[in-house]
Amino acid sequence: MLEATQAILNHYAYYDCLSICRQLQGTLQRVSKVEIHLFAYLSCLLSLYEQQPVSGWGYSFAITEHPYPNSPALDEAMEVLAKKGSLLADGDYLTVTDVGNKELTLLSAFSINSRREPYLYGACSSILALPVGIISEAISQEPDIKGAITLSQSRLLLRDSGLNLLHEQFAELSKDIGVDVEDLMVPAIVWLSYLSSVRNQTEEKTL
Amino acid sequence: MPAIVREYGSAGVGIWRKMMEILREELYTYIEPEIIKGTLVIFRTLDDKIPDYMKESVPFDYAEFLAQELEPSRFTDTAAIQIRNDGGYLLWKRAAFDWAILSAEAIVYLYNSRKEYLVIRENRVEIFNPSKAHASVFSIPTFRELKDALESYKRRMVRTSQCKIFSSAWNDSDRLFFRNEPKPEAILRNSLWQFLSSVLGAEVRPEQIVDESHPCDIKVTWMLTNRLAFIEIKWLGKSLSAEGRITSNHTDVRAREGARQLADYLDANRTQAPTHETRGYLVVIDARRRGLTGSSTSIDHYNGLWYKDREVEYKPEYHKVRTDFEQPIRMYAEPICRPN
Repeated sequence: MLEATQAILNHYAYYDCLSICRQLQGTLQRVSKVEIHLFAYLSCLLSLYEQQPVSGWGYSFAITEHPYPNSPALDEAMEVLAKKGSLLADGDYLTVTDVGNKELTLLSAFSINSRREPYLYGACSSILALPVGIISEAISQEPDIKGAITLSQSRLLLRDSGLNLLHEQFAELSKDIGVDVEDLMVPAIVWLSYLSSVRNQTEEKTL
Repeated sequence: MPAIVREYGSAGVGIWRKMMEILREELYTYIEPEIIKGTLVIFRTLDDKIPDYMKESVPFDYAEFLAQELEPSRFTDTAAIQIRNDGGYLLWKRAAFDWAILSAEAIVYLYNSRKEYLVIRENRVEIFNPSKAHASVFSIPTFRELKDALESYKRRMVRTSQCKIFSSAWNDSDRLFFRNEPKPEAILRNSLWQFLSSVLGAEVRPEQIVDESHPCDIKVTWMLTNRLAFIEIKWLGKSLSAEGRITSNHTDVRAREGARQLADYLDANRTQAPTHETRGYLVVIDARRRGLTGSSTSIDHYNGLWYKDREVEYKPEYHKVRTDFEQPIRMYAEPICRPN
């Protein structure tokens, strides 16, 4: 059964699950499955900010019945990692085990994975400046996701018009930061803060 | 943050990253920003040098001991903390200095009156804090359990009315009466909603309809799970109109009404969302004071804290007879008591 699952397993999603979980658990102790999806999506957006093609991320995201980006590839990876004992599942929460830590150290030596680290690290570092609840609310304001939620649509994210809107926001963001920045935590925090302030303004109007 | 990139480059970003980590995980674990009356400056120099023009400092290895020495609720001047590369700290309890000058060689963070800034040359760049309930964005914890979050709200925000939104519900500075307009109900709901939105990694929504006749105060949804929570808020005590007339006087009867109402919501929800595991939380904000009349302007300790430890008796005790009903949480909001 496990072998059959591994045959279709997305190795990018597999690595991202381990890396995100280990980075977040330093602050959060336990990481929810939703947070794995959210921070993987934020990492993907940072790769777009760095002008990488969306197809280069290795797996796609969608809005389905839940108002946050999710990827079946990540769900499968989490399941396999938990079965193998690399992740410990406790109810809705996950932690990386010693086995998982060793596996992550091994996997991160491959350039195919280490190339992703600046994006994963930048995204996960945003929890230094913003609490995770605010980050998740802010991401729901991302133009593509907000459009899907407003229209109650299930759809793939980062396609055509949604992608164009995002590129426009990122061009503005890059102008605001003004210089090339190595640490992608900077655009992540600036962008999330912007989305969060938009959300606060909308809520103040409705209250 | 773009200002740090422009002014200090990658080295500055690295230092600020470390400072945020220390603020969140060390300093603000022991220093509660809500109670700081003065100005707190925290800095880390680019080369770990101690600024020689800042006179004598006290060294500390642990943030806990530094916080004890600082006495955050007492100092009214400017205190400064230097974070050292070896993990230690230096404290100046009275630091009169031009921070713009220090910012030429350090990343300088400044906290004053619920606002936080990065000092960059002669400019103060405000740090974004999305939460109106918390004085600093670096002091917002993350809770995995709603019960823990409510316990924290009770202790940190309600007991001494530290939450800015919550405190706006009072009619007077001694916290004797709630005001009549705007209604305390709306203010207290807004306060708890803002708090929970920041500290829970879950979707928190105010005034959610359970069915056509049942709007509950707050609904919490944990994504990717079938878990839901409804929170009903009731307040006890008296409210006063602008003319000094008592407009409401809510006793423990009000808390019992809230319990019944919540039980009804849970029943209605069982029909609406039968596959969800739903739990009900009754939050009772207790602002009862003994012997208060419309003309009272102050209260002593004896009467002011009379109800502090007097729990409400519930009949029926839904939390004992139902499996979906959590034990009600009474949060006592203390007045400022004055000697007779």
